[in-house]
Amino acid sequence: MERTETFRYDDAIVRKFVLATIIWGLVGMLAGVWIALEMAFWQANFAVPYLTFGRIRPIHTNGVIFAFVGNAIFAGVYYSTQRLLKTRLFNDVLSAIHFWGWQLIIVAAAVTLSLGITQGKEYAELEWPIDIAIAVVWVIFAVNFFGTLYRRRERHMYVAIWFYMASILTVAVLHIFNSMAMPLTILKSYSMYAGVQDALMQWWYGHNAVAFFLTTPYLGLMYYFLVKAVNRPVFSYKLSILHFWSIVFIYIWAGPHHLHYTALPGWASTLGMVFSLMLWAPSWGGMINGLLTLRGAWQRLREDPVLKFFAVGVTFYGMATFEGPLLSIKGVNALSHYTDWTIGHVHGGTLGWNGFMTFGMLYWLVPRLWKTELFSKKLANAHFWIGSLGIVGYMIALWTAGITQGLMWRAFDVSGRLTYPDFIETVVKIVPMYWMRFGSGALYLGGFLIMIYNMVRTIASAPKNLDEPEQSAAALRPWSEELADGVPANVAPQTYDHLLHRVSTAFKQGWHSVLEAMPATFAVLSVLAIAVGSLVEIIPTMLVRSNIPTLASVRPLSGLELEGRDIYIAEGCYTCHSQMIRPFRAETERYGEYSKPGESVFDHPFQWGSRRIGPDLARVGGKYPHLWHVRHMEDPRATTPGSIMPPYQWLLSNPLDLSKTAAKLELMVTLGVPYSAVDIANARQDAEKQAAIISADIEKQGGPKGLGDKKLISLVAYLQRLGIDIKTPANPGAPLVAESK
Amino acid sequence: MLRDVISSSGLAGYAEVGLLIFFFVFVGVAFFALRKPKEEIDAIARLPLDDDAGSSPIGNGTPGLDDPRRSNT
Repeated sequence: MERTETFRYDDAIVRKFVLATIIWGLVGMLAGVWIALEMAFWQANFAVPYLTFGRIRPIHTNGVIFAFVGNAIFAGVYYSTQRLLKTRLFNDVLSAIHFWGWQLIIVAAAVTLSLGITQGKEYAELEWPIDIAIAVVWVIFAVNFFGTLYRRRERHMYVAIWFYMASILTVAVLHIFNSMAMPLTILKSYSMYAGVQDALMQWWYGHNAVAFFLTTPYLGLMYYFLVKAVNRPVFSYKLSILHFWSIVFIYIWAGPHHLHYTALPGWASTLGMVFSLMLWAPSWGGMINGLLTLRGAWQRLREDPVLKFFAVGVTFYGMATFEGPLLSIKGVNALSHYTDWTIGHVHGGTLGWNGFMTFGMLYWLVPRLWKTELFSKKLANAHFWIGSLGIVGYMIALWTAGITQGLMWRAFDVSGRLTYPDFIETVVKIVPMYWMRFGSGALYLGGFLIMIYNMVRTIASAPKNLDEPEQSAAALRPWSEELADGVPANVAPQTYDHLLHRVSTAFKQGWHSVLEAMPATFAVLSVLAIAVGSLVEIIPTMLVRSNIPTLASVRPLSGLELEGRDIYIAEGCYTCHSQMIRPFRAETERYGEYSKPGESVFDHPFQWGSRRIGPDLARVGGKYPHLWHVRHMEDPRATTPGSIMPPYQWLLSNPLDLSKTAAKLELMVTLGVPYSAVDIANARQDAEKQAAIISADIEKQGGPKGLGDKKLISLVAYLQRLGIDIKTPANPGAPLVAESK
Repeated sequence: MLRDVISSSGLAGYAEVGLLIFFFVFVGVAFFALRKPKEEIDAIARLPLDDDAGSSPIGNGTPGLDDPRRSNT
């Protein structure tokens, strides 16, 4: 009755993804160590545009998330899915397109980001043609994965498969909706959303990229590779079902905790906080399940590097998911936001959870994939200890830096004035911690280099013939056939009775078995789960007007200022400077009136930022003379001794291109920014006129001549415009903020 | 235009509906997960460990250093 089929697993594609993981891991981590050095030692920026912090930082984040972790996910998913479903991957051509497509995207990303070609949204910086390529390759991955599912020889889908499925579907939804942009040229586009909406969309994406790229796929990998390494089933399979559904349901609501005390409506941020706190439970469910799976194998932990990496990786998952909800509490967030505490938290998760789980997986997988033995267990253990030391040092440095700086920002002296009114004092104070961060990051990278050597030697000892052995497994009977087993013989097929009997047979096996047997239904339910949260969070701010009060005095930027804003985005200024003053006395004393939602309604994309390595710029307009900005960009230490900002001399000599200004204004009109036909027609002359006025002013103040047609002039124009609109009400007697409902 | 239509159509209540859907689906999943028969759960939980079953004698690659099969072979 049972038909046995023979087949071969496709391990060649897994080997390719493993190699890509190692190579891109090196690039991404090297970039990370480099920018860590730039923060401690500004000279490491080398005054070369392509090497400045603002441009390398996105290369680091994209590199480690999408290149290192991404390739590791693909390797792990392709290896385990084939085995869990007892079938070869759906289509070899799709696998190859997936692999090479993804590597090409990574190369394109590294090149464009260092050239300053960016959309300026964190973790989603890539310009629209690359975004489209990502969507296409992701769909190919999905087709390949679901096709494999369709051809499976195992009826039940193990919990790891659900985690993969939810990740694949959710990442597609997140990527598509957050990347909606209007193209200007092949390499430049503007976000469809503005201000509050763009911020909400970005952090809905940003937080769920953490959830569905860094967490759920890795939980799936944990449920396979940890179980394989320990060689015993997971501690509680029921717990895994429970925490899968809770994580998928709850994570999607948590995004707004990145925007506490900003111009985001209060209800949205409270919603984000409540759901973040709820996340505690399922996250720890996963951690406990992982750790307790190791029970009975503790003695092997002493000698087996694979288990060491997994045990510490899962522990860091527990720590990061404890710290996350803590930081989402508004009172804690008031201190932690914009500081290095957040960065420390993220690295606990990425270095500890993603990094160590990947290393554990690689040490387990590489000897098997290359049919050999690991070159050196000693070196693997050395990697483990050096890496652990690196993570601990990194977190201590950034906790200390973050909490110190946060407390200094809000400190008042007895007379009620800011104790540290100069922002630079709070920077200089934590530079030693930046050195420690650099050292710890270098240690972690050092451990990684040891692994590369170990892997190279391991692979070198591989036999020539890596052909996969033939496997055999029973073919899956069609489900309809299995259900028909439960129908009494006297019931004729194609009748209502027959159908009822089949349905009752299905439900006798349990509700979840029905679901597991129907991947399509299962997938639809997972998407429904994330859609509910997303819609509740996003639709109201998009559509209910009263959520974003408009301000009568806020006008769109001039053409020249818009050009300056593009330079601000291209240079990655938003990676170090926020434009969002929170409604705290410590902030209004330091920066001025707090930011209103209506002030960024024309900002495509929003520029609120997420970290204050330098001071907030929301009200920098008019604070300094034009010449100050020229001197500051040329040599930040000339105006601010002790500054760690890189110099931007090339902005003083590179010519300003106004040929697309009119087209930019026109595009802004389609996005809903109210420029008139006259504005567009005169865009160039107006920009030149404004540039001439500013450059004349700079000359009069004793600055360099002939800056009128240089890039810097537009950046100065933009910076001088920031935050001044609400200070110039049409009617001085009227309240500062005119709210219209 | 679209914005006007949707903002006047009273979607605010959908938030409560969303929360209720979330809550009841979760309770349902918890209920069905917990009452699932033990034998079935155990069989599914063993899936990753049984994936070499029926393969050729060489098996799924040579066991690595950490593989308990090493001590047996």
